[in-house]
Amino acid sequence: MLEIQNLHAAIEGHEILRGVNLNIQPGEVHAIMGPNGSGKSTLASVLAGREEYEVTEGTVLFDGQTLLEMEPDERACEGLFLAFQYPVELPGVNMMTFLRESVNSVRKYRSQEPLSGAAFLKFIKEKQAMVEMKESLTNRAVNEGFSGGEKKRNEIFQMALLEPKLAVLDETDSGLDIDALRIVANGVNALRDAKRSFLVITHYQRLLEYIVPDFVHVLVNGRIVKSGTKELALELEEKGYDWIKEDLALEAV
Amino acid sequence: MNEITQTETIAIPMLEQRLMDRFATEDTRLPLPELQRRALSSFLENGFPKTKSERYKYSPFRNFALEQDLVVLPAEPPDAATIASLALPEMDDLVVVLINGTYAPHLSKLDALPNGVNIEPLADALRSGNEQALRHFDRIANPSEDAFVAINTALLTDGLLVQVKASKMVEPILHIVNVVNVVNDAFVQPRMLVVVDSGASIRIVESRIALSATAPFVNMVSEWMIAEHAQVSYHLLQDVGEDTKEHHTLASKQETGSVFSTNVLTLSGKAVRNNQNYLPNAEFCETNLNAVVVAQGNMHVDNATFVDHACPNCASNESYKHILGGKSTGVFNGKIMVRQDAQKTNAYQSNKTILTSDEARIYTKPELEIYADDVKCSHGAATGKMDNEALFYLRARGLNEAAAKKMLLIAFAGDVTGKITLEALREDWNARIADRI
Repeated sequence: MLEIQNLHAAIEGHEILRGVNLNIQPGEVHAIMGPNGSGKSTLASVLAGREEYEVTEGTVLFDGQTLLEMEPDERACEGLFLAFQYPVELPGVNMMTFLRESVNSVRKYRSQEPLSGAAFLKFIKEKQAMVEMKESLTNRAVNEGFSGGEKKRNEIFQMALLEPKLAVLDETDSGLDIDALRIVANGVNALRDAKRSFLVITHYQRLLEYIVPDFVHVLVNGRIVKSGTKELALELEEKGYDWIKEDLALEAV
Repeated sequence: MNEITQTETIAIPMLEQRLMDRFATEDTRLPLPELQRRALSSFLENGFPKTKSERYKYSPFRNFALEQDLVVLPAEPPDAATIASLALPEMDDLVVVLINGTYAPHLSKLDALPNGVNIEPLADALRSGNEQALRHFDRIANPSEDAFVAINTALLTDGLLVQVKASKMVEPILHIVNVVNVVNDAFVQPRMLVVVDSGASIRIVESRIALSATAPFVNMVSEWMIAEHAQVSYHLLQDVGEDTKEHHTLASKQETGSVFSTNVLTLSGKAVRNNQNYLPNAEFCETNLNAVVVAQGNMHVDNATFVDHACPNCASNESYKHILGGKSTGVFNGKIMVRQDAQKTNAYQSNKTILTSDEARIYTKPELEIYADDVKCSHGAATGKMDNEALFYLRARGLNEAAAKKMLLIAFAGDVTGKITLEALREDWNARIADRI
């Protein structure tokens, strides 16, 4: 599904990613953990195509295609979804207009007929229930005046509507209380299947209690320095990131 | 520098001479020769606002006017199909067509004209002694203070009168199709007087279009007399094409408890100037003035608004939005005067601009003059580029760059278009805005 090889990326001349290698198979859930400033969000941004980041080296294959050459909207249409760490408020853009435009853009790209008004409403209702999204929110401007939890739920809601092949969740748990966290995680789990993959980026292990990953990777200084199964997350929770940094220091010697 | 001085010393007398010649030869005048002569003298005395004048600082409209031909040579009149193509959805029951400012009965549709509404050529009304027309014509706009109004009044051969009787609620929307259609670079002088009597209401939509392949100058003057408790909404679409210059003076006078709302959508024109002067002349008036400007290429759009709060307990709401691309220029000068007696005034003004190119520019100047001490006045002006975070968010959801920009700009204009209660018109305007960005 996703093959990242030796990925280097910089912003304003500062190298953040220094050779990331990662391979995600269909249906797998991978978690990326790491201390602040290790490059987790940069990785998500580069995958989604944020222009501020310059890829200096490396390749990324997404479902066999060279991802880095695609425009952000092509990536979305090809089935890559980024749940934003900080979802953007769009004053004056009505949720329904936005969602419909988004869903129909992706459908058009996939040579599907646009959903009619009635079909779209039905589709919305179904997915809304899944993330326990209040109906009143869909009558508002996108994310405007939404609480932190509502914004994150809105991300998962959009993910459910776009039915991606690969979803990248960028610190979706940050700023969520336990109830919101559970709702978001339930939404994600409901979308897990044999074909859909997830890349869950998080600073804390707690999200991984709800979204149980197949693999856990630790990103430090722009590189994946340790990979393991879900037990690795627990170990990190217990010991913090320092022991890994110390291990690295030893290796370097 | 030399060139400019030359224009000032040579061309102005030329225009003055041409104006006097034109005035002497014109035989289809209004039945108000004295008033027209006064307007001419007033112009000859005062001339155009100088380039140094604050009000026209960024817009050399006098220079544009100097080049125009005072003789209007009409083109072959447009056929019914052309007029039909300018029709607006759900607004085709009541259509008045003006060609170069003159009422064209054969192209208009007035079968559904309700009782209590009078629509007739201004010259006819003045000739037949129409009391309201005689009382208000040329009294709301002021030729002695404004060169463009003076020229319009002096050269006027005809115009349009719209009258609504007291208490009449006009159900159908009046669509005025104001067409410029000439074979020369004519200086066209359309004129409109709207008198809405007490407690009456009317909704007017105007499409101002140029069909000519030439470079005319439309010098429009509209006067609005809105009696007590009357409600008037006016939606103006300015789309005169890339070679036409347009100067519009809108002047309104409101009586107690009346509501006057204007929405202007400016989409084209080589240079467009809107002088919009609102006088809430009694207590409890509400004045709403909104506009969206979408400019491309070398377009130059200058909006100068003036709300003159002279009486207590009135409210005004103003929102002007610019979307400027290419090498276009926008100018906004929003003056709000709150005179000493105008206690409890509630005045709000906002001017926001998005520049979609590096070469587009906006000059914005809110101008609040407040002499009363118990009022609520606020204003805001903001200029910026498109929000890249918002663009990226939309693109990450599958919208291509053009669609994402369009969605954000339509939303930006939404503060204004959202206030249009006629749904068909709101959709029509949104579609037109989307078309131009």
